[in-house]
Amino acid sequence: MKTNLTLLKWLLAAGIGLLAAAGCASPDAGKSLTDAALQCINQVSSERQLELVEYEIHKIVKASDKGAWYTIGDRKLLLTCKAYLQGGIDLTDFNPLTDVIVDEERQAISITLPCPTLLSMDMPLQEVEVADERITGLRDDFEMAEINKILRLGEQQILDCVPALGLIDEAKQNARLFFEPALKHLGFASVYISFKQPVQK
Amino acid sequence: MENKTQNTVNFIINLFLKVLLAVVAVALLLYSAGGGIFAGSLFSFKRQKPAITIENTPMTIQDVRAVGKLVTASFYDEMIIKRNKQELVNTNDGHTGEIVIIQKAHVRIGVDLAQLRDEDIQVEGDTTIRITLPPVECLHVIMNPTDTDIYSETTSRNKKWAFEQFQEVLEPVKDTLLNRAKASKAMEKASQGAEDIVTEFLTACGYKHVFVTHTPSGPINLPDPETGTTTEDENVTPEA
Repeated sequence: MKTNLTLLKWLLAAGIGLLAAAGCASPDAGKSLTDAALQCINQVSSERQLELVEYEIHKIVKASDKGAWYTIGDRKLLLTCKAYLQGGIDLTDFNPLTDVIVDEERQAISITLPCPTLLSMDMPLQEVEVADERITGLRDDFEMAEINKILRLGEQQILDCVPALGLIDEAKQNARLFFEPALKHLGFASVYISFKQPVQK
Repeated sequence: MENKTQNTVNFIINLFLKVLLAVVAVALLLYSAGGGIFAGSLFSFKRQKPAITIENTPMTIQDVRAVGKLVTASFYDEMIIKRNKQELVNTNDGHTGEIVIIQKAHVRIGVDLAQLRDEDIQVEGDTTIRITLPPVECLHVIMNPTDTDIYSETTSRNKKWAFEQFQEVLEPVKDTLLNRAKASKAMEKASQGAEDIVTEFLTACGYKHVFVTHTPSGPINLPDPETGTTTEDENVTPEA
């Protein structure tokens, strides 16, 4: 009996020691000031972007939280939101000296523009509405932090669907509609607009 | 006979103790290894909550607009907003509670070239062009859910913050950040950037003398002369 009690004490001590070691191992250990410095950004920065198309998107976000096996009840949330996607060309890849060719004899101009891309997305919180909220059993209401996390998931879903929107083709068409009349107004008889291949990341 | 019974009882007790010790040791080992197969179960003291999931729902394109906005500067800012429920006007529910939000914003500044009129472009001969660009303006103030961080929220009597109350807290923030952007060097940078881009492009088109000017911008939100406050001072706590 005495031996068993001694064994019990040693095993418990070993277990507590392992627990303490696990608790001390912080996932943040090892981060240095260098990592923090990489997160600094300039408050004011230069841009060279021409927005050519804006999409107005309406999305319904359906969230559910069934909870763990020991929780009683579940939670559901239905939100409607709007997002505005701006597509266009990033002129940092545009060099007027090489990408603009003028033929004075034929009064023609040829411009090679960078391939359009998604430039920015605006999902204003003021345009989000809570359509329905269902809380059953012993569950608590959704906290603001949880609703914000749900909206972040919705935002990511919208971004994931951008390639299927046809935004790039629409921006190319608008680029032609934008530059051709303007350049013809400046006196060019023929205007040729082409686009570079998209930069693969 | 009594000895035999005693020995049997002792054997059972010893066996039970050994089994119990083995279970406790294995459970502690698994927990210290990060929970393992017991993560999220009763045995895990961390008791990780299952994640909230959203369904993959389709989205509707309500409108597609052709625009011509030249963005030449960006202004990034963040502020800490601390509000009490009792300070709310439109959505006050009579309860107490406090919310602290860290809000980031990205303001895109530039020129809306769609506002250019024919009379803004004057061509003199084959080599000179004069162009008056529209005023520099803040084209977008972007405050997405990923830019919003709810640092803490407290409530009384289990009456949590409603989403409409959260929206009322954030309503004046956009104007404040917009005013900060307008008062910063970003407007000047945007103006210079727009002139540079248009000059480069027109020079590449063959014009030797390019004169680019701007229509003056609108006024910045100045302090109220009676109260001395701007929307920047009302209802928000400036970042420490």
